[in-house]
Amino acid sequence: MPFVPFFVLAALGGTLVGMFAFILGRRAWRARDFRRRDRYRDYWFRRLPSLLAGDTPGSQEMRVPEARETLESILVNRLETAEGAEQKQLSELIERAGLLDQRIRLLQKGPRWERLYSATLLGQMRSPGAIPALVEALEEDWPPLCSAALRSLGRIGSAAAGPAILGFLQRGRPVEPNLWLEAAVACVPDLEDFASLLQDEREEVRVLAARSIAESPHPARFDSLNRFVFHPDPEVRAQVLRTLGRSRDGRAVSLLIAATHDSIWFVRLRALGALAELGDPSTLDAVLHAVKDSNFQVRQRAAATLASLVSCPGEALEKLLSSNDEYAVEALLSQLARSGLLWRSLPLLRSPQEQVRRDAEKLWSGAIAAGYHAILLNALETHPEWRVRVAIARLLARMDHPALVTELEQRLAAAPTTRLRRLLRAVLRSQTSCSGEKTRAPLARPA
Amino acid sequence: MLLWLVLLNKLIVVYFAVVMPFYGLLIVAALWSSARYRQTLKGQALQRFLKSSLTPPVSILVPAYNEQLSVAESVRSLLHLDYPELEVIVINDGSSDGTVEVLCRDFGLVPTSLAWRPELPCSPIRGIYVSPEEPRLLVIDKENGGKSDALNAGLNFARSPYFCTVDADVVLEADALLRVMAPVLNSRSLVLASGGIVRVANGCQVEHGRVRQVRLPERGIEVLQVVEYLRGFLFGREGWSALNALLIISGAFGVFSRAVAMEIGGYRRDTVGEDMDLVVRMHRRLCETGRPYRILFVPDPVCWTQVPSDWRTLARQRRRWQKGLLDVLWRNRPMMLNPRYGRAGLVAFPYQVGVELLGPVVEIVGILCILASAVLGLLGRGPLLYLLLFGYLAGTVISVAAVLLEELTYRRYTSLRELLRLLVYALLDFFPYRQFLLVCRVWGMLDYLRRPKAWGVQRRIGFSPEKA
Repeated sequence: MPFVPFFVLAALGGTLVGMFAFILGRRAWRARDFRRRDRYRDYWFRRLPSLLAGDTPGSQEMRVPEARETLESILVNRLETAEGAEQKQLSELIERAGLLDQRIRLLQKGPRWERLYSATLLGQMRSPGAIPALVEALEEDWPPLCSAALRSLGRIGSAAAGPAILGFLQRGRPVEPNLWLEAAVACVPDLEDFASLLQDEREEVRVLAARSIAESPHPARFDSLNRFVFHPDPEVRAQVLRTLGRSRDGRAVSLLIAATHDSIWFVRLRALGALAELGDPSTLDAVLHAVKDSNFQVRQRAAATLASLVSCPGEALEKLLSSNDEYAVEALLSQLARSGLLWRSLPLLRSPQEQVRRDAEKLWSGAIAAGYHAILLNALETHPEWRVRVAIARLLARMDHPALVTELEQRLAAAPTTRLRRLLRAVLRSQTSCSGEKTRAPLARPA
Repeated sequence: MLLWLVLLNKLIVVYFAVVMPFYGLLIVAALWSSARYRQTLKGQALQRFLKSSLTPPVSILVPAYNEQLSVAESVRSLLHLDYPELEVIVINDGSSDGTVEVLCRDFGLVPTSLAWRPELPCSPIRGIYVSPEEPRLLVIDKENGGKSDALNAGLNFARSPYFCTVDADVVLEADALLRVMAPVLNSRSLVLASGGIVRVANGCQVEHGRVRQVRLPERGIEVLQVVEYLRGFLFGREGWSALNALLIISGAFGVFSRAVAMEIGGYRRDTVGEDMDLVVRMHRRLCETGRPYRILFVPDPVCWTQVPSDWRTLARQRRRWQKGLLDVLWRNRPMMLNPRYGRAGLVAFPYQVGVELLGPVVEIVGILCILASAVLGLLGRGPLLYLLLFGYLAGTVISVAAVLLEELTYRRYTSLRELLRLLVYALLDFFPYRQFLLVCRVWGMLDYLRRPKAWGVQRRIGFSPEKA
């Protein structure tokens, strides 16, 4: 039988006792440490008004590291939400108290993890004085430090850091894409600066540059971007199209319409998104064409664009119904239903403004013709406002749909209240009286 | 007979001699990874993801089967998550209780029709509901087809590049989604999946879909599960994640790439371990196509879940888990020791087979052998005591180490009384709780061989405002 040496048992038992002692000892030590930090916190909170008024913390006050760290965390946390004059006061206090200089020193010469923490804190301090040290940290070999420096440069958001950020990508340093993007978007105000990167031979550089252009809050110039609409790289094309949509330049319309015929589906998708942003009603026909796209997601996007282009979704629906394309109609209606717009338009059926009422009726007539009558019937039974239910009943009474009669009969049989039964019966009566007189041709499914 | 017994004893010793270094390796990897993650957290300003336009939208899929007691709280907590753009898709999997009715009442849902494309197979959809006030919520009512089927239905409706699966009986912390997505946003390579830690909600005070106060449960069986979850997540998953060979992301809370999930055909509908199966198939697909990827465990996004509070339900749950494990490992057996699948095939998969799957059998046989040896006089009283003490100490060191790791890192149980209780239960974890689980797991394996697969039923107690 195998024999377990005594020292193994002793070691295991010792480990167990050691762990117990460590856990309890650490708990006690932390409790003491927190009490100390709380005392410093109370002290600094009492002192803060005078410090913000221009007082400088004395060397004696800043002697203990915990005291310094507590003040730093208070100021940095307040800076997160501060605006205007308060932000300026806090930044000045951070510099006056020597916290900025100390963090720069630690970033340059501190222990490994302290450098990383300092790089992050310098970003939170948002002081342009930290930019040279952070740019220097971008050259380090330790990727987490480079990432923290990049992130902090993005937080400071100064154009002075722009060339360093662009150079970081150009030199082929390993980069976290989103991090670089955020920094670039914050620090490079002129989109022309990205143009050279769009012609880089490395795909990842081209894609990142294109995404930066698309995400940048700075104004996009049509003249500097139009030449990239037919770039061989589809990702670049897609991002440039997004940017053109944001440019609000009417000259982009023809390029965007051409892009709705691109061979790559997501380029077409972006073109439609850009058309929605431009909001030019003259593009309606191109969008209507895209609603019949072979790609499901493009169809969905086209439907959303259509809904945003026209003042009343009923108009778009009417146009689609005239195209006799079931898929396209479904795409639009499903977009409207998922956004809650279809349901929210129900009270408009009894609006005192005639135009609003007509638009809502147009929308719902189209929805019924497309087979979406179930939503209206559900609303007839469940809508919290009785007057809206009456308006729905009136609309249904005027409509003619083959499936309506059967469904109305079923719901009448299951109706829980006399009032609802009366309403359903009235609709049913009008339906049966006109049934067979007006029949609509069924919608076609495209191949 | 005696010769066989001696031989068996020797085999079991060899087995443990091989397995113990694995545990040691995992503990070291977990400690290293935890320390590193804690340091990284200092440099990670999470709030920037909230404001960034680059943070991708996430679809949260919530499969619900007879969850009327807890579904509304869960959905409310999901809608209040700190995340810039999300949609919550609840899939009612043919519940026989009032799950849909509760949702309709609490969120003012209205039935609607939507165009959707059935890219993944799923049972027929009975109805689709939207909320006019909350456009981010979509409820799909479908016929019963199991959890995988419900998730497939949800995937058909999801519109975001990443989807998050969340059980309907869990509560997420406000920043959990942001934290679990952080590695996805920061990573240089493609992150296929990322999972958070699942903790025990029993005993905690839950209000309006939020855990207001973290407390240990009152019942012993629940506290033992707290220790077990700490051990499983903080050691097991963290260790494997550090080696990029994580084969399980809990279906209770995990984020996955939708494109890759669709590429591999979504969830397998005829399996009970659908979460593990998806991750394993993702590993396979990416290794076979030679694309670099990461599958990660993030230890601080917390998902609070109710654990069984009686032995019968616990036994049923563990049987189901073991069935799922066996099913997934059997279906993906080509990965076993196959260098094509890297560390996942060469280390993690054999570990799952040798330790997680066959471990219970070996342990039970080991216990029987020791007892038989003692009865037959092969083992004297001294060595018997030594062996039992060794087994107890080795198992308990791991449990106490899990509590230590929790104390070093996340410290959710703040009061000294609760810490002491946790430590006491860590001492009790090895006997007889572990033996009970061993029996359940072996039973689960036998079940798998005998009976068709089923999702099983778990009794829900719901989140009350006082205590979960």
